Amino acid sequence: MGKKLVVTALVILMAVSLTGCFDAREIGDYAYISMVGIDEGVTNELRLTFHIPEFQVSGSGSDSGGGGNSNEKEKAEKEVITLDAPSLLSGVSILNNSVPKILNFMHMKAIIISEKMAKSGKAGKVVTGLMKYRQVRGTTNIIVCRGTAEEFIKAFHPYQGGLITDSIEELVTRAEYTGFITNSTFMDMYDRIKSATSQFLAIYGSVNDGKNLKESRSGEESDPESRESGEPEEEKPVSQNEGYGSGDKGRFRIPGDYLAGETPVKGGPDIELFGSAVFDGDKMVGTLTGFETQMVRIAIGRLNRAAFTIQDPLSPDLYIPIEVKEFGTPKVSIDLSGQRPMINMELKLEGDITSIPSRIEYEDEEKNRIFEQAFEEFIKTGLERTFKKGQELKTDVFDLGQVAIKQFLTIPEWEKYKWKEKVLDAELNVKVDFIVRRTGKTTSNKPAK
Amino acid sequence: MLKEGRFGYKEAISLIVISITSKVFFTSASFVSRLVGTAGWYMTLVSAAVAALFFAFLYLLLKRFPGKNIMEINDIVLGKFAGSLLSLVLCAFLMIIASIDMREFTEVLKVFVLPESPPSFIMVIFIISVISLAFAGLETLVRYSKFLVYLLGAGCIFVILLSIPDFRVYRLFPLLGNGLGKTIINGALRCSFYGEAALVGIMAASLQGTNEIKRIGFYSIFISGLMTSLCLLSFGMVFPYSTAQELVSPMFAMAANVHLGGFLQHMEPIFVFLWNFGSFIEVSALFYSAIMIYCHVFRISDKRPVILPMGTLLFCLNLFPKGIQDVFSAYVQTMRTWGWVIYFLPPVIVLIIAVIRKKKGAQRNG
Repeated sequence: MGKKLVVTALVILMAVSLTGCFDAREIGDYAYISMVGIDEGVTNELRLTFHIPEFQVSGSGSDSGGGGNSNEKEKAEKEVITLDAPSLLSGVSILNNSVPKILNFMHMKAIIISEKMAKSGKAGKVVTGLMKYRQVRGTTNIIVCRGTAEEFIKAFHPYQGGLITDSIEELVTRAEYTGFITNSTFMDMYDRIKSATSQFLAIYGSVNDGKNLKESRSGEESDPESRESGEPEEEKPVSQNEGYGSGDKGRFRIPGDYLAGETPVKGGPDIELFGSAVFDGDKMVGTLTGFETQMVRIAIGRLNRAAFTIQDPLSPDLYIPIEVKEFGTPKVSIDLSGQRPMINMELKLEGDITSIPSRIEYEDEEKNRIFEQAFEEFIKTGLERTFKKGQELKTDVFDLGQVAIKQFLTIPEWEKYKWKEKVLDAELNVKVDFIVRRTGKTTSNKPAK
Repeated sequence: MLKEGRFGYKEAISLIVISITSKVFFTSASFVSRLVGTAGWYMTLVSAAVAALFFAFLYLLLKRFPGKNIMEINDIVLGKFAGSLLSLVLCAFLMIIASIDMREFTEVLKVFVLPESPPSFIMVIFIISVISLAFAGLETLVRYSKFLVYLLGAGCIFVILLSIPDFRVYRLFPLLGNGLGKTIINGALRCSFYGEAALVGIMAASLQGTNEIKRIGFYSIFISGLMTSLCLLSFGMVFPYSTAQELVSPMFAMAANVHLGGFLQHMEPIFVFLWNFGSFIEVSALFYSAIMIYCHVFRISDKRPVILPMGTLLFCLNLFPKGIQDVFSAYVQTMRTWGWVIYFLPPVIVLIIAVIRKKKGAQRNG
């Protein structure tokens, strides 16, 4: 009898205490934040911008953030909330007094940091402080934006409807096939800004108002008004064909050799992600263009596939587009025996020519080799330029520390060596081995008669 | 009256392997990084080797007194008073270890999963489960362990496999971490991590002879060593040493970082499952062992009246640490570093005394 009583009491106790009905929370009780923007505050330490998409029942007309109707502006205003607060947690507390839902960061896709904050070093402190916050996931993307994070988030709308969370994820995933941005996650940032081995590259983003698309050739001499939208630029866009031995100062510009906000694009989404923000410790020290970011990805063996366009080596007025991917991981060896580290990098690339406007028969073995050498030179110069830029920014953009560390037996020895200082004097020797695998749907290319 | 029953080596190995390896899911992994940097994955193999060496002494002692458990041997070799005193020290130690491990589990669960639940609520639920299992007896506990060990092993391997895309081999360099000397010294000291192998001595009477004891002890340490090393190796490749030493639960963080396309994300619930069952088995094993010792010392034939008061004691002991920092940096690390003094040293001393005093148990055939 006593045993039965105890078991009954236990079952009742467990039914009451374990089901958690009295304080149960349903999915609708939460407001899921998709993006957080961090700017320098005006009335307080930080200006925080939260993007809280309105999720609707699928098939009810439009999903979260899906624009295209007259209420779009009103909806966007409702979804983006900006406030000044001393910390993220206090910001959330303040917001919880006006938003009748519990704010949740579990599905947050991106943290947007304004360039000004990133350069001041404050962002590094704020963002890494979030590591203790259990809801923020390590896989959240880190984007440094030109202008303010508030403007950036306000301009971010899902393209052709859909969920904004999908749009962010897709945008970052697509970069795997262009190489114009890096994979930069919150965990990555946390790891790298404390590391003696690697430095952090964040995704660089901006609002693009379409002013960079010139209406006539006479406007080629850079319209200062359109260039100076947003933050003042510290870095000049890469000069046309500079360093590629063509001598042609024409209209050709290496595809992707832009920073976000500079691409000659009009229409489509208002924001773009292009290039990288380079960090030294927790402070942003500069930017890499999309092309330079591609070079970083090639050097670290993370270029799935990317399109390049180079000048036709036998007809320099014309250009050849080519789709390239790496085969095999880059072989990097570093000689640390001398005063300066000597870095030898061997890369193996393969590619498909997608078009030959000059109709020169590059399918021919001899000419094919000329083309391959031209592309090898193009990549070599690109890598050297990017490495040099990294050195000027006092950073190791190619993550060479990850190779150098293998030559040290203990952590104290490695930290004593001060790789980050040594790499600034390092010499890079690049060897690129490029093979044209395919030449599209045709096997020869006869000239017009 | 509760009877211990008899069980095979698979059941016993399961119990000990779960009890040992579940600790790697908590704060120990990051503390190892703090101590030896990148060398944690093989430091634990040093610990396992030292623990196996200590276990050899325990085995020799148990072999000398066939069919007896460590409490009976203590009584025979040291006399009833001194033997009981030594057994009581072990009993108290096991209760403390159980309470610390349980508090560690509570704190980590509160940080990651149940931030709004009061710790006492989590503890009460946990203790009710431990007490229920204690009422079911040792045989049920080991058979339950055998059932769970495959699930837990598969779950652990699954989390590791999903994390492979995040592995970066360079993070294991410099290979010697903070120095080979530090790795060996810390590895030897932290043999207490494998201290649960000493529970074999407490449950020796339920096992099938000394050969089985040898098999259980060494296999348990070997399997636990491999699993622990694999876990440390995996998280060592996911997090650089500078980050690894800061995380509350690197293995949980590793599971939370899994991001394989749009569908395989947010995998940490698998890990919570591993945590819950692993800790539950570990604390239950320690708790029941403590009860066995207590009942032996005070010649209590029926363990049931003791279970509830001991459960209450376990709950009270849980309340001692102030917070996670206290648990992490004071209690857990002290026990991991010096626990071997209670786990492994007494059998060595008792064996030496038994040899000197020529005490020996009755030899059995087979």
